[in-house]
Amino acid sequence: MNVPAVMANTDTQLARDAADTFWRDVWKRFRRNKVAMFCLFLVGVIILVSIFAKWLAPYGYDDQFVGGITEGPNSKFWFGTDNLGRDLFSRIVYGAQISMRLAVLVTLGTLLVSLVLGTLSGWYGGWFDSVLMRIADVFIATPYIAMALAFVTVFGRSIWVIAVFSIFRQFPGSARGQRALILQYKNADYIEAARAAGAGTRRILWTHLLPNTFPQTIAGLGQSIGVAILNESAYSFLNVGFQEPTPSWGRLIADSRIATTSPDLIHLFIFPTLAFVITITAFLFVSEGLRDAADPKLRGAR
Amino acid sequence: MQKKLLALVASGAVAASIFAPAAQAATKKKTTTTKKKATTTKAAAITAAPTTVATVAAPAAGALKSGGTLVNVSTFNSGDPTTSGDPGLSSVVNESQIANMLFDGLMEIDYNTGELKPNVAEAFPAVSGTTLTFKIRKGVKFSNGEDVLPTSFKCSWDRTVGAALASPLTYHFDSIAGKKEVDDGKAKSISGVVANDGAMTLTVELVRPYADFIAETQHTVFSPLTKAGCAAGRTYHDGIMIGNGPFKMAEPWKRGQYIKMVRNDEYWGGFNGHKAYLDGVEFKIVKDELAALNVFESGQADIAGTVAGRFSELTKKYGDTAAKKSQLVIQYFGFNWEDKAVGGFANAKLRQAISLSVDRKRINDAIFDGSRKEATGFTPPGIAGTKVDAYGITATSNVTLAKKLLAEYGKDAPTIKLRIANTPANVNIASIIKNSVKTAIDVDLDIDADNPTGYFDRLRSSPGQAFRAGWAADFTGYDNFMYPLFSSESIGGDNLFRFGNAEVDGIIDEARRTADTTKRNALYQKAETIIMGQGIVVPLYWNKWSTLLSAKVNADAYAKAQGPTAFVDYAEVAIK
Amino acid sequence: MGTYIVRRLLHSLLVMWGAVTFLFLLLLIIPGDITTQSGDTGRAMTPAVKKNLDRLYGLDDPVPIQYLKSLRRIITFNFGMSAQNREISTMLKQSFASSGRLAFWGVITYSVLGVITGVYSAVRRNGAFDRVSGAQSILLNAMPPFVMGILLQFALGVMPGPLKWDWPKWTHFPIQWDLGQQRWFGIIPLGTTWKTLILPVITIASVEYAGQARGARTVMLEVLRADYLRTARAKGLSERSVLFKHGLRNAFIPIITSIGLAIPNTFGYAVLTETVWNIPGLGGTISQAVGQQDSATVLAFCSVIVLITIVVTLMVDLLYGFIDPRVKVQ
Repeated sequence: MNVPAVMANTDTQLARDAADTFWRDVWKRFRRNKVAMFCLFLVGVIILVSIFAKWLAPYGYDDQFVGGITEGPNSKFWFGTDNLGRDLFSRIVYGAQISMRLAVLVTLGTLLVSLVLGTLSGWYGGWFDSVLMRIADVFIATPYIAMALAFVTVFGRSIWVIAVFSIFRQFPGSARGQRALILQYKNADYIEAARAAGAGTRRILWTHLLPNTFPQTIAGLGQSIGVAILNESAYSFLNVGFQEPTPSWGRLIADSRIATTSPDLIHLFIFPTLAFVITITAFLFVSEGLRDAADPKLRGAR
Repeated sequence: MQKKLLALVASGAVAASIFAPAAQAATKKKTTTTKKKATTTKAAAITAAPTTVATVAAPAAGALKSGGTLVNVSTFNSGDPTTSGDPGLSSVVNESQIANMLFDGLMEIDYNTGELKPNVAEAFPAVSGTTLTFKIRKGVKFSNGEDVLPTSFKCSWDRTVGAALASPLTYHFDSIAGKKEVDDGKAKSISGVVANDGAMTLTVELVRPYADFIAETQHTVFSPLTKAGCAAGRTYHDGIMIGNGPFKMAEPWKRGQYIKMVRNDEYWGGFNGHKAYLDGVEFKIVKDELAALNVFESGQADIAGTVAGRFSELTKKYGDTAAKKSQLVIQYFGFNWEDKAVGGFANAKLRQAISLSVDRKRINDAIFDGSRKEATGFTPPGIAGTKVDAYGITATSNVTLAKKLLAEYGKDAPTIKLRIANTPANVNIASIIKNSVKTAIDVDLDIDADNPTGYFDRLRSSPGQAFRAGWAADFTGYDNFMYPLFSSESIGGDNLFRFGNAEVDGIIDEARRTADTTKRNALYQKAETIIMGQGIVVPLYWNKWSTLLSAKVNADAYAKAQGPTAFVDYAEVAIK
Repeated sequence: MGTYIVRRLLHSLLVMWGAVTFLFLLLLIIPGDITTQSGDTGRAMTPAVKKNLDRLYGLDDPVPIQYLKSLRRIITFNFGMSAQNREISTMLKQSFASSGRLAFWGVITYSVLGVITGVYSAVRRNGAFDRVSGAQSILLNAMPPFVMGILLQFALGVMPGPLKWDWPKWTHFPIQWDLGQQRWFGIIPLGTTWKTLILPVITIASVEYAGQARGARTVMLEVLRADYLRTARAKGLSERSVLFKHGLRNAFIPIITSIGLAIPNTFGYAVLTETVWNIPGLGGTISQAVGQQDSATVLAFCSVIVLITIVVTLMVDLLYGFIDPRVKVQ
């Protein structure tokens, strides 16, 4: 990271200016990455689709058309219909909303938990660190299928329940990442300097340490959203995800296994999978682009 | 007995549905296998009156070809982890299929005709008061050469009821004197069962007169076991179980992979008087019907189930020989008679209007690709005396009549909570029900997806407003569709509707005492008419066998070997 | 080093205890118990049956005693009886044979292929191979393994069938999983059973392959730009020996680390692969057991999985120290 030297100044205003410059630089570098820019555009489209799903979808996600069971794509049903005569396009559009809603919840939850736990763990160290990291280990070690199944059996299949166990699954990794970053910067000269200047723990954390880890955190967000969508599909595939008829993308793909036996049904597999793969790829690329832009040393290495 | 199986419904615990996550549409096979309980028979008096016995072993017809091994991928496509095949523990359809092949009981059902016939017992037992005396056939052997003696039955039954095995199936023995003492830990052996190996008799002392007991002995839980088998614990099924049936195990069950059965050359012939035609049957365990179909289509199997969405195409391609035979299974949803908003006489018109609005054809087409029969009555057509077109119910929504009834009902219809066991197929069925009722008469159903584990337990105590369930026949009699489901004596048991009506109770009671078949069935029909007139039950569809056979299988023989419930008698199956 | 291993093991035991306790509590709060399913015959359970089953599964003890007994069963490896009426140790052996075989060959496949792809793309940076493999990695990265499974099933099921688009005979791999005879915990397929392994291994390896290829490429690019390689080249060594002697050796440590870190993930993907290919493995058994509230089985299986994870990570760490003595394990 090339900024810390500037940010070592204890004057907050100066630090903020530095941060502004920093982000301007990042954006400048990011803009040069054509693939990442295109993916950012895609991400924008997906977000818009998920916000305006209600207006974009020609039909409701559970509207059943008696005459149109497992039809292929046509002018009335752009992506065809499923075996209950539901419009696949509408279901995918609503699915975007559901998947994005979950992904955002999970990402924010993971961010919060891992920022707090990772920072405290890295900063205080000692037994506090040991205990927190062992707790994270427990969540890594517990087979997630057992945890997820128990959760939905007890608490039902609402988005909150799914979000909670998704966070349980995702936070240990990012908390460790955050902890490693804190450890890396904790003993840096400018922190020592700040400490020598008499800054309190809270001030050091807020004005020096956390802003330095921020670029990685931001870049991690995109990745976390991608991972959350991927995980949701696995839950749906293992039938511990959303309740039917909620059209989450994972559910749509899981249901499309019927397509493995007949070419007439292949639209049930192709469209949800494409939407899914494109979305995840877009988020991963944006995230990678951001990371490269924030850390030019690594640029081109990936 | 609430066949959970039946209940497409509950089909599959959470776990089972995890194994077949794709089953957006469950095919029939799935329905039938997942949870179907083995056939227990309750009213022998009604089905097969103990009359004369014709059990002299006739020589094999010779028309069918011997040899060949068939590979089945349909029986175990809900997986096998919980299944046993041990007669003392088997109650789910797929494991009972294995037990049926391995063991021959005192009585057996002829799958071709549906009749109950004496098997290892030479004849129907001599009945005197509460004492039944079975004469055991001489020369019947287990596949290891050990003789089948009256003690083989007695020690097997004692093992099943014993505390060490902790079998949940001990209720089959409740009618035998001395079973209670075993339950209470006062005795190790049922005192009411006396085996005399010298005279080859097995005497059973019942607690009170109970004609159904004879028919009930065809359940695999009454099978004989070898001396080693009687001493075996709960893991007997991990080795090679020794039986006296037409097939034996070639090797221990390979969990999650296959179970191989080969012809038992020690077999005495059964009431059909011949050994199995096939050299063997291999049950491949493919936990999901789609994968199973792929195995079949790639030529690696001979017997498979169809899948929703492809039924018509598949039966066209492989012939629908096996798809003609129906099963005695009704799938329905019912109302809680005691619920204020939807129950009681006052809400009959509302319930009927809802029943008439359900688009049964759409369920059949969308979920089962037309492989079921839309239920226009309750008791399936295979039962003598049933009327299926007497209730105004049509395959598609009868919107006109439904609207008329709703208008006569007069009040605002409440939003009705419909409880279902949460499996993908059930959710889809419920979704169609909800949709078609809303479209037809603008009444709202609220789907309450419940945990499949323990679903029926909860229904028995509190069914809510409306609930999804199914019923498979224990035996081929009208009574089995009336008494357990609608008699007020069955409330808390299988009468999930909590339907109590003195008139219906009286008619059913009269029917049970009526000897004449035609008159008896007319009485049951009368009771059913009253019940249907209350709209307390909304029939959805009846099951049919839908099996795909490769060119290797003799389809006629196979169709004959398919039973009225969910088993196939593989001794009667042959290759072309 | 000795104390390090001891400390790591102690930590791991702590984690194992935590996971077991967490799961025990989770299963406890699910309404009903193991007898709800295993005693279910479609009619209400009689008190005698309930009593027998309670005794069989140890439910007649108070909960704290049940908990202590669960711990004892795990410590002594005497797991007892499952809701499926089978010895849990037998079930463990059989499930592990399947999952272990799948995971082992999956790891081998993605490691070898991933490293080869990554190194080659780095050496021929921006060449055609690099671009194609880059795009392929991106795609695979965004695909959960079951999508790959569905694609393969489509290719093998539908194409030759309804579409009449047949593949060469040698690609007709059996769709049905067959362990065959077991040796070496089932890891080594004997006879023709290796054929049943191919499609599931492709499925499970696909995701990590992408990750490993990209990882190896990054590492290799860094190594190629490092000073010591420039020095080696300057000394006039052939490009080949520069690459193999100096480049690969230095890239080895990070690559091994990243493979080691990926192994626990592989067990996670194994559940999905096993589901899509009907493999009777650990994941399926666990979810079945959770559904049955069979805590003895769940705890036994989970503790074994935790144990495996621990052993594998420990081995990676030790290997790390072994390859590069400069790396002080901390």
